[in-house]
Amino acid sequence: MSVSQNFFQLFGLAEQFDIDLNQLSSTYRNIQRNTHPDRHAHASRRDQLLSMQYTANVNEAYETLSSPLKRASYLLKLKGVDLSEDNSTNMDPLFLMQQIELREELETARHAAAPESSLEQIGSKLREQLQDYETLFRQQMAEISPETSPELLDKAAEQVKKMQFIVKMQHEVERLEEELLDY
Amino acid sequence: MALLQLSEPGQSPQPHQHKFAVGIDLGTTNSLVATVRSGSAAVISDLQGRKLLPSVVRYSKDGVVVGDEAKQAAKQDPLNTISSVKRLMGRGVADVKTFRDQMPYEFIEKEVGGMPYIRTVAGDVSPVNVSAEILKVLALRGGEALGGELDGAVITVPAYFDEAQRQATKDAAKVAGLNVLRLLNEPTAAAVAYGLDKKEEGIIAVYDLGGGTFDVSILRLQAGVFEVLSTAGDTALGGDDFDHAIAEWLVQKAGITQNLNHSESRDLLQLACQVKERLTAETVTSLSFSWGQQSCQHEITKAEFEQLIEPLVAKTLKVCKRALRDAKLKEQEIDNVVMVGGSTRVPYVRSRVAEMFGSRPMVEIDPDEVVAIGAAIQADVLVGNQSGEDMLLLDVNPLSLGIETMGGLVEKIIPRNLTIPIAKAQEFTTYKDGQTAMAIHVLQGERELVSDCRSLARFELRGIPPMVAGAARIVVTYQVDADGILSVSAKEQSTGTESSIQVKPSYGLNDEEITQMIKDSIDYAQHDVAARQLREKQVEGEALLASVTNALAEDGDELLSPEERGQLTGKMAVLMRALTSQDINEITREIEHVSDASSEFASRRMDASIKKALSGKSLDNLNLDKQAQDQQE
Repeated sequence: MSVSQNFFQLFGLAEQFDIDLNQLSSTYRNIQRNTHPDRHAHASRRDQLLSMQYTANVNEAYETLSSPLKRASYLLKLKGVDLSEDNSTNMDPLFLMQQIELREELETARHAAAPESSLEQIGSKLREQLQDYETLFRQQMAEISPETSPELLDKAAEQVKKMQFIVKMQHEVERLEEELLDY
Repeated sequence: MALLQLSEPGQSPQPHQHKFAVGIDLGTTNSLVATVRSGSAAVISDLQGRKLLPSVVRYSKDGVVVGDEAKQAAKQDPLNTISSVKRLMGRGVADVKTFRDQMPYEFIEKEVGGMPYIRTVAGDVSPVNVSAEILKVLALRGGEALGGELDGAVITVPAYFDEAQRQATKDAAKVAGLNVLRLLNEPTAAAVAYGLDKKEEGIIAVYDLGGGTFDVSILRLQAGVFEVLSTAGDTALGGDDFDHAIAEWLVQKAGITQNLNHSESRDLLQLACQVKERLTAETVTSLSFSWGQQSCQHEITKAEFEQLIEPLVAKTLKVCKRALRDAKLKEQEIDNVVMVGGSTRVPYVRSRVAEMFGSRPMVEIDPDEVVAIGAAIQADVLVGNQSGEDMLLLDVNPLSLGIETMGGLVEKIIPRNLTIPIAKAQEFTTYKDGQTAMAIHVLQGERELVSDCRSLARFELRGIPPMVAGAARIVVTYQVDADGILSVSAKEQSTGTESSIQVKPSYGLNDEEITQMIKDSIDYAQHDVAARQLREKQVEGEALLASVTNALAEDGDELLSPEERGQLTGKMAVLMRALTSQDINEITREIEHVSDASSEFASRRMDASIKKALSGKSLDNLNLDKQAQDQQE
């Protein structure tokens, strides 16, 4: 198996944050038509095992590239920054303040008479923030080259950490919605 | 000129013979078998023209009876007539306690916490044995209809079936002598039956209310690709619960205070089921029931019935909301809803579902048959009768898989609703000097505490080279295959040793038990075990030769050098000779040799096919790639 290929190469995409999601989907389906175990159901056991390994890899690649956050983390990983190993908790204080405020709004919404609209508002604020940090990330990544200072990479990593924070908040909003709206 | 001597392996590909494959719907209440003949899929009936086989098995001193005859005997022989065995598959003794009144059987705990055996006059039987008896009848039906032994079967399972339940189903198939081509999720099977029928494109939801289980799956159909976006369910909610609601209503209404005996309970449930069916067309119906020395007569209206089942139907709709959420879709974005399962004939169910999704549900294909039909279609593709270029099923794992960590918590390794097959790796290390083994407890579920999740199995890793604590780098890989079944492998990175894994399934049978069951189920008067095993190996060898021959014909020139090709065909010739011997060990050895010799070729073919899939790129993208590559260099 060509393990030297990274996920972008596997799908024939340029290694950058912006990708054509339609192309990703259709390429994914095309690749699956060839590698999926269903195509090899009457092949030898060895071939079936191989097909499974290939397909699992393709599925992971697709999952990673489909999600903007996972794609961003993966781009950092390709540049040598592994956020999963990052245990540091210090973050931009201004950002933390913003998040604390949103969290308070969430608590208020929990006890509000008509929580649906408050939750919708919080949800859209989070989406906006996410887009802002995605934009920053995109810009910073585009500027990185062998000539620029390594600090630029750290800055880009900061944006992704913030994005991870925001996505966690989004999950909490979803959970609260489920709870309050009787799912 | 080595090739001339080896004319058979390297030359023309063997023509594909038509294979015999069936799709089996192994249901809680009824089972069916279907197959594709002359290009269309249909359910196979028995000699009396019956399509449904009641999932009822009766054990007696004279043997085993399955189906309608067994069902009729249920009243007079309740303890030896097993119905709804699907509820027991992959479950433990503690789970069974909740079924007490519905399942009056004598349960025996052979192993602490293991699957419960049922004591019958013919001996103790495991749920796997009981299911195997049903499968045997269906396999026979299929074989007779097709005119030969089956090459394979696709067996359906509820999408929400967990690891243990799936493995138990596979084990039952093994005991019944079936070659399982795939375990297919029931909603996906239904989607296939409809999707191919109507050449639909778009987003569909499948609402599958079986006798004992409820599943909802959301799929995207596009260009013949069925992609499951999410699946949710409840393996303890089904049409049977509607029957129970009616039964309880009658117990209240009639003032029945004493405990009914098994026979009376059975009667009451059957009556409730008939009432449910009658109220599909009628607005009111009467029912009479006798127990002990008493009897009663009452009337129930459709409205009263709907009130009784309202909470159950509401539960199913909540599950639908969960599936929508996981798929990140709103109700309006669903183009069509497919109804599956006998209980979806209840008008109230249809109207509530139509209300939720804003579209009239599709019910054209018989809701009892649609799952078996979809399974038959896939069986036909997997066994090689159809090219399969028209259809691809991308299914997902329904439940998150995790491991137990410190403090009774569960850490998720593979989250739910990911497209399968999928593999994830995790690194561990030792905490004591010289530690050579490790225990891993794998669980399934969405909660954080071990006590709230379902224990799947305990894996023991052995053979870790003794090192200083913390020095070992053990990578454990969890792999979920296309059947939704987990396998675990481990490798110590610094030394490269593959640790062996001992799996102790929490609610399953280990290999020895299965082998014994298979041996016991073979009728010694007709089949010799050794001869059967030899034949199986020969078939395996023949299939291997056929597939490598095909591969060589397609890509041999392109991907192999003449020396490599010569080496491979040489090994193939040896296998070919071995197949005519009666020596199973020699055949097994030569199969290994050819597999090893062809593995590099297989990898190259896989890479080449991926490259082919990318060749639909536009010129612009190709340039971008070049730029990116240049930048990196």
